Amino acid sequence: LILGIAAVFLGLLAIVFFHSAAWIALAIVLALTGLAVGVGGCCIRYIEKMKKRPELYAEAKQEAAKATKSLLICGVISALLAMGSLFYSSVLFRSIANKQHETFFSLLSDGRLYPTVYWVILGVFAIVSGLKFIYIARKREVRKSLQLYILLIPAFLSVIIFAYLPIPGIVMAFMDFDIFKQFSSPFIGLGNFIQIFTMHKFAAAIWNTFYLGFLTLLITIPLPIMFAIMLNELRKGFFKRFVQTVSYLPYFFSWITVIGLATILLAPYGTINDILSAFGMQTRILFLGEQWFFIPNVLLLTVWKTTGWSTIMYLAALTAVDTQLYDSAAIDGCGRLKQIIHITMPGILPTIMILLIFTAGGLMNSNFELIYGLQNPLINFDVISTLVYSQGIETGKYGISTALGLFLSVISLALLLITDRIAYKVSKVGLY
Amino acid sequence: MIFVIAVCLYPYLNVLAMSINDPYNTLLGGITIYPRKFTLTTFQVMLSDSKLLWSAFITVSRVILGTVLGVAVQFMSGYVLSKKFFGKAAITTILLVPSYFSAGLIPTFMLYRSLHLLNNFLVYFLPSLFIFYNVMLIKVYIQSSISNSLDEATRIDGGGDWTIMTKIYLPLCKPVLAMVILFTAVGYWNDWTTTLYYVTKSNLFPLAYKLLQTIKQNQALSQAIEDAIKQGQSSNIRQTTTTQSMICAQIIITTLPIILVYPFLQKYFVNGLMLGAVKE
Repeated sequence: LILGIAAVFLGLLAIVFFHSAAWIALAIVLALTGLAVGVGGCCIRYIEKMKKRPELYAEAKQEAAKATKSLLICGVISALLAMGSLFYSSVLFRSIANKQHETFFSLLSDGRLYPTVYWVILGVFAIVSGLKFIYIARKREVRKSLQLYILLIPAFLSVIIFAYLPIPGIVMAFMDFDIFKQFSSPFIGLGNFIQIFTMHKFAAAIWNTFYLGFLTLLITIPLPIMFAIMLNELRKGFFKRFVQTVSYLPYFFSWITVIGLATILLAPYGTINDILSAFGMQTRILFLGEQWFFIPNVLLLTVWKTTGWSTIMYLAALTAVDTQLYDSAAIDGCGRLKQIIHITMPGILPTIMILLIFTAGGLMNSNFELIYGLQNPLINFDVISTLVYSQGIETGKYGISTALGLFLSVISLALLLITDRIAYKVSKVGLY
Repeated sequence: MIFVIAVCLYPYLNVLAMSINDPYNTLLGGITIYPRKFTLTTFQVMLSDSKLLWSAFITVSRVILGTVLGVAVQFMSGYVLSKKFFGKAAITTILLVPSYFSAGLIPTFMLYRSLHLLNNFLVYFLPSLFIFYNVMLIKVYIQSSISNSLDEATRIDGGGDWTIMTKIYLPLCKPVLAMVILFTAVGYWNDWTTTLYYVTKSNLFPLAYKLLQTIKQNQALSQAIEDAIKQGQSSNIRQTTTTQSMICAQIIITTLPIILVYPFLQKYFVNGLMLGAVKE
């Protein structure tokens, strides 16, 4: 408990001493960690006390578990930040070292690395004490599944390193990021975001992302359904299997292959133009170089690649429809078409709804591979992901493209959560 | 239906025909699904290019390494997550979150740079070893089709988790593993964005990225050249082959393994999707 209070105090001190915006944010986390450690300390004491009065043991254990959770969360967050700041300081350290031949220890003696070191110690302390606490409480269970934990280590490491470590890098979105100053670049608050929403190029990309996502949704939902119903009407046999095999095939091609095929087919002297000129078109159209054709091209290629594959889910739903219904409908004088409308469609409606909702969740995830591949000097069409790439990696405006990427991540996460909740309400099926 | 088959197959056959047609003859247009003047010059030119062979080697080794390591990691995690143990919910959440929220391209780029992963062969498979979706497939499969009594029996006989996993579950998980392996392998084979983002050294380019480069070059300059050739002014651009035919041949080369393997394994792919549907 005393340690916890001391940590809180130190955290507050950190707030007072490091005035700049970056330090304050981190210092708050620090204070939180301190608090968490304090809570942990309390819990340990609590349980110790309860051991003397066994009749209240179960209750105390529950209370302690709650506290542990918050302790762990804080610990994880702070450790993450600690790792992040360590990693950025080391980047900073390297860039300085290259110029002035400074060593790690000279940086340390300067005091520039003190905050990082402090966070690292605190984060590690919080996590270790949290884990130790859990271990005390659940000794037997942990010991029993020790092998399981060991088996998870590779997965855990890979997720922590490659998925969680970049997350603190999001601070770049609030910086006027300079590749030479690295993470000591000046903070500009929401400047990057203001630029995104006011500059035409970025605003257009955001709009394009929405627009294209919506159009894709509109087209990629009904087509597979129609195709699946058509397939379902075929009698089982070689022909049906052949159709299925052939129509799934494009799904396994790379997007770039699909674009390559399109380049050949839609070339000025490609097949499509040949057909058009056979029908008396005078001029040959440069399909891939015409601004007006860009969105249709994107949609066309998406349909070509994915329609066949998407039918699989619907086909499965179709086989689940009761065949007796068809028979009785036929007796009542329903034709094929009426059967489809009145029996098939309601039968697969739940599947359609679920898939629709989930696809809507991915509305913002425009297809980088396809759009980047189709872009050429004659086309002026960007979505967020292509802009992040071209602004960030190609031209080196790291700050603004991080901001753009963050915007995209947040919006798509929100969409996903919303659609997931809706799907859950509708059908009791969720993502988790 | 026949229309659908035609739409699906025609582009590929068209390209196949063009790739084995005489390059200059192709420029006259009108190639449909059979070659007019059969020749293998384009392939000869391409296969004599040692860079292309090297990038084929890069692609293949990436596919093999990435698939083997990735599936090993995923199988281990899938096995663990199918069991009951303390802290499972928390660990699952930690593993799950990244598949819904990512830091974005630039922070990842920065991280890779400081880890010296840029222009490094490791970037091709190391970051994507753990794929939550595949882990879930394996987990669901284990839970739904392998009886828990096998596990208990082995434990009574004194086997630990490692023995259970490798000796008992591994053989039983063949269907789901086949599916995961196939999807991972196809994914690695087709991937070129990793190269685009993180690799600039040309001796690390995989086949798919080579294709992208050819297409981009073609978009930039082919128009002028083709028009020139059309009008008979081709004397100054004498090459053994044309970009158009190069694209065709590259498409054929990059898709050949998939085309060859796919018909036999289609049922695994489809089964895999159905397994995924169970989870959704």
